[in-house]
Amino acid sequence: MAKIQLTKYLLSSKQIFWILLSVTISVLPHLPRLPLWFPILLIGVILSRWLTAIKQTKPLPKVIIILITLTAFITIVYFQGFKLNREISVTILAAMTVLKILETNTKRDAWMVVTLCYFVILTRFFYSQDLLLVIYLFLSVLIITHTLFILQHDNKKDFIDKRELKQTLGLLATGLPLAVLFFLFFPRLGSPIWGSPDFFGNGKTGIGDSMSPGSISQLFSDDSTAFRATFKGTIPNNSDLYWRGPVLWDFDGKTWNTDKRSTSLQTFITNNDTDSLISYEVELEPTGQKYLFALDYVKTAPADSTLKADQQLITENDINQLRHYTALSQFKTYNSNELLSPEDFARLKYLPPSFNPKTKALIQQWKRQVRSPLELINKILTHFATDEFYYSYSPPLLMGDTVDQFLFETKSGFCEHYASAFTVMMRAAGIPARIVTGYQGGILNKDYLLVKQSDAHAWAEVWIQNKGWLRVDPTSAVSPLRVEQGSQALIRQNSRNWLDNSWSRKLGERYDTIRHNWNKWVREYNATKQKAIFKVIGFDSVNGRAIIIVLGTIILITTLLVLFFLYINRPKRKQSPYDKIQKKFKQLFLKNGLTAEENLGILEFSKKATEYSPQSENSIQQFTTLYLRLRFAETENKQVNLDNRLLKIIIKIKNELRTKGIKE
Amino acid sequence: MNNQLIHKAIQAVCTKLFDKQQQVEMSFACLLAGGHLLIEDKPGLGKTTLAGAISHVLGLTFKRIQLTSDMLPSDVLGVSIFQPNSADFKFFQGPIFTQLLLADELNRGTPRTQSALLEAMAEQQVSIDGQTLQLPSPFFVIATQNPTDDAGTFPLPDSQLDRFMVSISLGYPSADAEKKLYESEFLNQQKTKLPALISAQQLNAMQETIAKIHANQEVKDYLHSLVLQTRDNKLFVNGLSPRAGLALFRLSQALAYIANRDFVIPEDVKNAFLPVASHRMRTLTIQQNPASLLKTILNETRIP
Repeated sequence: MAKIQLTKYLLSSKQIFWILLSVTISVLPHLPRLPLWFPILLIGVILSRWLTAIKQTKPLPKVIIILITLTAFITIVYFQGFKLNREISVTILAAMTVLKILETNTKRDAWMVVTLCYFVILTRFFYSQDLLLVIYLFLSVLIITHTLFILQHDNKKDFIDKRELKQTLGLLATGLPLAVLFFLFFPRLGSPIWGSPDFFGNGKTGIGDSMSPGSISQLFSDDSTAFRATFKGTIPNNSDLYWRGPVLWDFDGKTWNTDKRSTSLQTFITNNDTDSLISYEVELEPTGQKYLFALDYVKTAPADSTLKADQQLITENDINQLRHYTALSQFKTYNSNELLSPEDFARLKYLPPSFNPKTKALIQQWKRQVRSPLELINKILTHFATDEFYYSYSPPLLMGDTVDQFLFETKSGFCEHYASAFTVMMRAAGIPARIVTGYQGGILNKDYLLVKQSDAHAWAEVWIQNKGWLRVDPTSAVSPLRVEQGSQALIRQNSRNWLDNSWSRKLGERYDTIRHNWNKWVREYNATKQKAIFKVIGFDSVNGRAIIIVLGTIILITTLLVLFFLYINRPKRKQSPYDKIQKKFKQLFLKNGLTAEENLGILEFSKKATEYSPQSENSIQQFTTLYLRLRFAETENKQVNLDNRLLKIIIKIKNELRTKGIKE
Repeated sequence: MNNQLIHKAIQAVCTKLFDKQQQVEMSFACLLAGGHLLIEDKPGLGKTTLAGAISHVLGLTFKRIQLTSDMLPSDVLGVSIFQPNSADFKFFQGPIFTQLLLADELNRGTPRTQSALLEAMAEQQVSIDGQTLQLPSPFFVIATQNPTDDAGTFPLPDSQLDRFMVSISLGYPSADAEKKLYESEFLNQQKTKLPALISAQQLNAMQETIAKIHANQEVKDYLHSLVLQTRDNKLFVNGLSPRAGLALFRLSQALAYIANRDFVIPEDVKNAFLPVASHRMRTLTIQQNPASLLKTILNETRIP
């Protein structure tokens, strides 16, 4: 018997197949951040277990499994350090789940592995909650749950059986409403417990804190989302949408860098004309940097960020997760909120001495022809517009005196070439100037403005005495289309590569809408939004009582529904009146202390009952004979009142049993 | 209903074989249900004694063959021998032309000889030299078999096993019964041959009565659910055949007859299940024993 009990819990090769699939699918999204030896371990373990399953070869000896496990553990700890952090915990969890396969021989083990798979899947959310990943995880939950199903009902021969899958889908679909309700009403933490680097944010290109020829034009081919902006009022004209990012002060002849020293001070000039204030909300994709982007010029800094004097918005920590912020901006020609020291002016006019001699000479010549800085600016812009300058996202490579080469030889460049050349020219003329990088424009996608990486832009800022900073965008002189209608208009004119067409762009934008809504309704569902929902159903505050009432109601309703369906679909077994009377008869003795297995025939039971209570032998015999005759014999007319006779005998036996009790 | 006769026969056989009332009843039930009986056990447990006693009590023509590995089909069926006088072949009947055949140690015979019995058991006829010859009626085969892993045995093929309605095994006797064997009285008792108590006509009449014994829908449902479970269980190589299902039904009727009832009750089916099913089932792996798996099925099925 013991052997049978065991074999009942052994696993079929179909069950093993599903377990292996579950483990693989749940570990897979972790692979890029797991150690390099991990895939080898995974493949090795899976092959080994699969061979044991189909070839019936002997499983690995216990000693070897223990050795492998110890080796894996020590390797992880050796390379990642013995710390109790998320990285190491997840790695150990994944490794041990994979290794557990080696000793998965019975159903009990299998249930454990499958449960572990759910955990492994869950830990992937520590790193990202992106929509694509969520879809993947949903699919893997389907597979893992199906494995659970297969462990319980392994009836069909086919490894993948449509009807079985349908049942699993049904199970998950039934659970979905409950999951949604719990998502909505379960107490929420103010912020995630894990402060995590977003995996998908790593290695992503975007606006950085330096700029050299080519650094922005390479972004032009990247259609991924930089950020999304939702405006409270009407969306301003495209030519006004200058999303300010890092401000570059220092030039070493090739590369522009941000002001790390931050010497300038902010002055507070009260400005009362609130008419031109623009309010908007930005949803910034992870960048791995500290810069926030906002429209020129920022009026107030969003929470958890500082507005530096040169109008850079800086956060305290790297932005590794989706970030939301509300900003307030104001359009104005001159920005005079910055107090510059003599050193600042010196830096803003500095050029590396030996670079770009031709440009310097040209500016010295032009400077004599104009009377004011504004005139010089106009002269330069006119030069860009009238001479043979081209706007190109794949300009020739520049070496050495980059500005000289660009101005006098190649005459073809992207916004960073023009901004850089223009600023160098300004500084050559002794006018303080710097470069601002960020994004320009964006496209209207449904109800929000979608700013892509291909909208990255660079422009110049010139300090005009007594007025303040003036924004000059030399690109607009070369390619007015870029600024007035945005980079998308350019892309529509010339596709960037063979994959680039309006259809694929449209698809990308449609997908971004879905992601935006996903972010808005799921990822950013927080305590505040929960409070609003609670308010809708009549609770003014989200306190313990409200949560208990709501969750309790959900659980109660679900339980009732489940019970209802169980009742409706209960196995339809006709309970004959004889079953009831037989049960009554058996209960007489069982309650009195007789032990008997279930599914014992009435004769066998009577034999036991007689042994147990010999003085009732006659009555038991009487009952059994009558019962069998009534129930199974072929008689013309079964009289209902005969049942009363059975009942009478039962009562008689009851009394006999009672007197037996008294005697004892 | 008159079943005194059969009880007398059972009692008579029990004087030869102590403490095995249940197995003796099952053997008689098998014969009453018109099936062939297979007795499986180790040597020396009384298989041949039981088979011999039954044959004597039934008063049928009785022949016995002892199978060995050098036995040929003609040793069982008979052989045609050339007659110089008439210049013709004359057929000499083999031991199979009898009403009750005891095939001792059946699995020691070669597959060729075993298969000679096959047609006889299924069709009650034999084909020799292109001629089909009818066997006498009633025709019963009682076969004994040693455990298949013993030396010098040829396992019976599934098709042959399926032709046996019932298989029983005797097992060791109880301590009291075994001690009785040592007494001198017993020796004398064994020497006396049991008288014939039942004639062929009486047996035929009983079989007719048994076939009419009533089983209501609940009993049939229970029986069928047991059969279905042997087919659904993945640990078995095969399920019970419809022939086996019918055998189960007939045997249940016979058991009801012996219990002096004119209707079948679920417990008849339950008692008949193991003898009918256990030799027909094979498990996927050696570690599992068909009989204990079948017992699990019995214990887990709701009995009405």
